[in-house]
Amino acid sequence: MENHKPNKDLFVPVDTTDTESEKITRPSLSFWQDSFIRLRKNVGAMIGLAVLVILALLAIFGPYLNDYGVYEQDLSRSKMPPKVEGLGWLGMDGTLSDVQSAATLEQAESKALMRFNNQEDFIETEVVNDGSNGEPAQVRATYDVYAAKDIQENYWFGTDGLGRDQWTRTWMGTRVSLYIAFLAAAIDMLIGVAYGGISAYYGGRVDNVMQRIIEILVGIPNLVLVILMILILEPGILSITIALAIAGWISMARIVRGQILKLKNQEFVLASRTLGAKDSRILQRHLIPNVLGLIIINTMFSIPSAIFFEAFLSFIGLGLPTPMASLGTLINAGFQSLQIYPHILLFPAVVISLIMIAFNVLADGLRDAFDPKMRE
Amino acid sequence: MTRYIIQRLIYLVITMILIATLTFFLMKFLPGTPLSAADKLSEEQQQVVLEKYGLDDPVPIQYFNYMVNLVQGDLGISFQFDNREVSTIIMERIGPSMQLGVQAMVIGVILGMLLGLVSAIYHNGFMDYTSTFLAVLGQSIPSFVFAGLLQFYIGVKFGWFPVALWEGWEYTVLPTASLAIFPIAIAARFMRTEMLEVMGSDYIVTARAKGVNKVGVVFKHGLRNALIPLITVLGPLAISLMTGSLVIENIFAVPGIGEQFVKAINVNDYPIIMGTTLLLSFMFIIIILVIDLLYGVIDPRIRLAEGE
Repeated sequence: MENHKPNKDLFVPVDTTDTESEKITRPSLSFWQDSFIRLRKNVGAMIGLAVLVILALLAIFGPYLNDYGVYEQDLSRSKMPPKVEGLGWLGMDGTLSDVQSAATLEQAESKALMRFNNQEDFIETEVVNDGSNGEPAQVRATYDVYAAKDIQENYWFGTDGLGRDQWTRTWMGTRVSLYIAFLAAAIDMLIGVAYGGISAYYGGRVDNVMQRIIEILVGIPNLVLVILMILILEPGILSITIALAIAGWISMARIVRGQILKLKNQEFVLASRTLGAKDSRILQRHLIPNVLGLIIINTMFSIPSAIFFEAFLSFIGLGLPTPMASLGTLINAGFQSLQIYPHILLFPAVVISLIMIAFNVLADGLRDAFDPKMRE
Repeated sequence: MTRYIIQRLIYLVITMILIATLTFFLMKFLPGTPLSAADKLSEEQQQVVLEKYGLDDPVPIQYFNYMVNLVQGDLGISFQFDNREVSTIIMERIGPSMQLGVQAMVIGVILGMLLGLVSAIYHNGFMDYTSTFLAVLGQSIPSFVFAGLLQFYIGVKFGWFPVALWEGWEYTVLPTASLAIFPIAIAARFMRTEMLEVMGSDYIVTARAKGVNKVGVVFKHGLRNALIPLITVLGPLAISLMTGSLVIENIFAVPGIGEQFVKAINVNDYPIIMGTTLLLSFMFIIIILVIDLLYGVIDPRIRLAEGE
């Protein structure tokens, strides 16, 4: 049997020169491109981003989608339940319902009717438990508020105690929260980064004095500081802005300082200085960009806490003054009629929770994306 | 170490003096007067009241008196409740606040640790995703929204626990739960990260290779080492509980310091605002100090770094 020998012409020798073996076949990725690719693969973070974009669009355009004003009061249409055409199965059918129980079926029925002012034409009753098994009889009454008040237009999120449209007010409140988000980010980026950067870069006496100031500021609880500031200024968006500007940048300043202290003695800084770069150039072009990942992560984490802070202040009555809408004030108002009209609390509470969750998830995603250890 | 503690104590005193001064002068610039129905009183009547509380003295003298009294533990007399000393009012109310805070902290950290532990053990499994998801919710949903949900469903709909007030142990359940949700979330997330890192380290592999069973490795080798960094989050958590108590105590009508603080702000009761602010700040600084010292005691590496 003859061995089959392959034809030598099929083989080509490998080119062993350096230029060939060191050739980079995949396009080179910068740190940012790589991080972005990893962020895009993070499903949670992408959903968070999408939710934020949707909420931001609704905050911008939502109030114009219907004709009601933010402050437009009308007591005749107060505490209307939410109604959206086609979303009745979600409970947004413009009705209120309640279960009443009593010893006999008749008593329970009359109690259920009485619950909605005996407007029998607009009440549908349904027997939950006829009382024959020894338990109290229970009757559910469903009251069609829109028919009873003869209101043709729909309030998508219902109305509050003064008859103001909850849809418009919720999105106006969301605007406040998003403004606070931008503000917190800006304060962190501007004051925090500059303070930490300067403190670390110049070192020595400058650092000493600046750190002593921080140490004292850290000792004062943010909340106390903010409440005291709001007390002397008029309550409103301006005083919250100033209060955040005083207290909101300290942790960022500490983080940036720590990083710059590590970086400032490295060779690339020395090289830049030897070439005659000014301090401001070294800080702006060489040091800050190297800390940028951390800065972005920290900013993203400070945003939800700032949003919570504004809502918290508004909730205890120190934030935006009464007629204005903030998610905190809306939730506070919702508490007052929580038992009978839970929808007043529901929508602002859902929106603020969504904002907070979205920012937190996005921040987590960014942290993972910027962390070289997470690389696969 | 001694030098470090002394240095920290000096900072503590400076910060307290600064806060006391700041609070005093801010109160002086507050809008509104402490007189209720000031427009109904004649000039003379107003004068009498102001004199009684020493409010007609020049500001520096008021400041001096205030600081002297403060050192002696005298926080002044409340405007709101006749002739009641602020220090007694605060002392009466510190109990419920402390109880809520401690309960929330203990429950929060223990539950959070367990949740984090489960996440780490079943890394990338169903349990992990569930508990991570719950932790994100707990961290994100504002405590007052959560308090509302608890009040509505558990308090009103199911009637398992009282909706508000403070008349026995069962009244602490809902407020404690509302306060504990944030510590649970933070402790769970922290524990998960730490535990994953510890479980990946060489000594764990060694222990497994030597034949220690999985439970033994997790509890004896893993948990202990993962616990140390958890101490760092205790400080921020305690502070968040202090902040949270302001709203939670109001929502559940708990007769604590937070509720009194918010009330006092609304009626311009300066001595109570000042007293509470100082107390909160003091507790805040002490917590940070204790945590810093504790961290040094527990982790030898930090103590060494301080010594150098």
